[in-house]
Amino acid sequence: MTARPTVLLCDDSRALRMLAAGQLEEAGFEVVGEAGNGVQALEQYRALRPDLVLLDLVMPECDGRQALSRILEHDPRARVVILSSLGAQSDIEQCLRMGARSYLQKPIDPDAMERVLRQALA
Amino acid sequence: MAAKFLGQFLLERGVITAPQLLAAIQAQRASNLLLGELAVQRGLLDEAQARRINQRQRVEDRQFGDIALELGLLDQAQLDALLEAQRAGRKRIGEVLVEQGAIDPGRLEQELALHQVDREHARSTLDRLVASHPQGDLATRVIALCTRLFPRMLGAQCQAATVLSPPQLGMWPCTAHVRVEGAHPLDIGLACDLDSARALACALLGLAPADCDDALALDALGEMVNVLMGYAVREVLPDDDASYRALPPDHAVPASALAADRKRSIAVLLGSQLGDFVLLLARPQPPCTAP
Repeated sequence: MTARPTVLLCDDSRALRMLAAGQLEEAGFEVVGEAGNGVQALEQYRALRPDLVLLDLVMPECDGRQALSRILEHDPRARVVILSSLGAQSDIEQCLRMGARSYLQKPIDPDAMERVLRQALA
Repeated sequence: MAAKFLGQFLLERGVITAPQLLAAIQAQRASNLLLGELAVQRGLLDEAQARRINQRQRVEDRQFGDIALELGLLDQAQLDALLEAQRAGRKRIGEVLVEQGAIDPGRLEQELALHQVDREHARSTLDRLVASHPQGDLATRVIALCTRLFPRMLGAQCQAATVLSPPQLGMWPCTAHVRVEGAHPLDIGLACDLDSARALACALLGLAPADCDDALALDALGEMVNVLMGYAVREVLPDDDASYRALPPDHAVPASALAADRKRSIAVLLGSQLGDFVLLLARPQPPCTAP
């Protein structure tokens, strides 16, 4: 692992990716790639092999659950943290059962994000 | 009648020109530094630290200084000195217009008195409209939330101006709303024109106008609604329902459709230094429950 953990940021909102990327960089992570849908998420994961994936549940084409399944199928050791909207508890539980390491709720609290991502790396 | 900022009031009365107002707003912004900017300017915080506190303010309803103290980035004496310097440096728009020669002090005094009367009238009209509306209590609480949240999120003040009817909403084509499902469902949204959407996006994301395209502006409007929704659920909706679930931001429903049911929805025009925008609140019918 490099000194700065690498992150693949997956969310269909470009604005959220910009906000989160700034927060991640300031928290000491390196954003090595961004994806706007689940298909791109898998492609980017294969190409970049990041230390962490921050994965939105609701995305076009191939949603977060499908992307999680495909990423873990490709690399069972992938560290994926789910990004969810308020109240998506059953979806979160399903993702955790599938192998996601943890989850974060929007809007993103930068301190919570750093804490959760560091725990996921441990 | 809608409540107006002094600059807008003077512009509409033909007392000042648009270039004069823009120059004054720019000069006022340069003198009225945010606490984080002041701390950076004085070398007490670096830019990354100030940004981090600002980011926390988007999800926590706390003042910049309180977070800085908690993080140990400032001590109380430093914070007190910063607050004092901020107060001392603060300039009102009228003062700046006088300094720039756009208006003489005597005329400003007359206009301030007229503006005060105008504001009070607009305020009482707005209060009456909101109080008599079936969703008035909800609107009052979310307006207060916007007034508190937007300066922290966007670095710009906002104030409620008036209640709008559905036919008046066609001039704000950019919309984003989030539906919160649960026993007390709520639609919460914002609508504005494209110029305002771009200005809001640039403020939210810290971008230069040239770096913000229309799609990003709409996207950022959705993120702003998401943040607003998060606060509204915590502070406005009853906490007896742990099953709240927010759907992703929706840009397809026009403001007039969101506010079509005059009993279950309300649209409030908010003025800000970044442009006007409309707060949209609607109470969809709750899901049917078994008898």
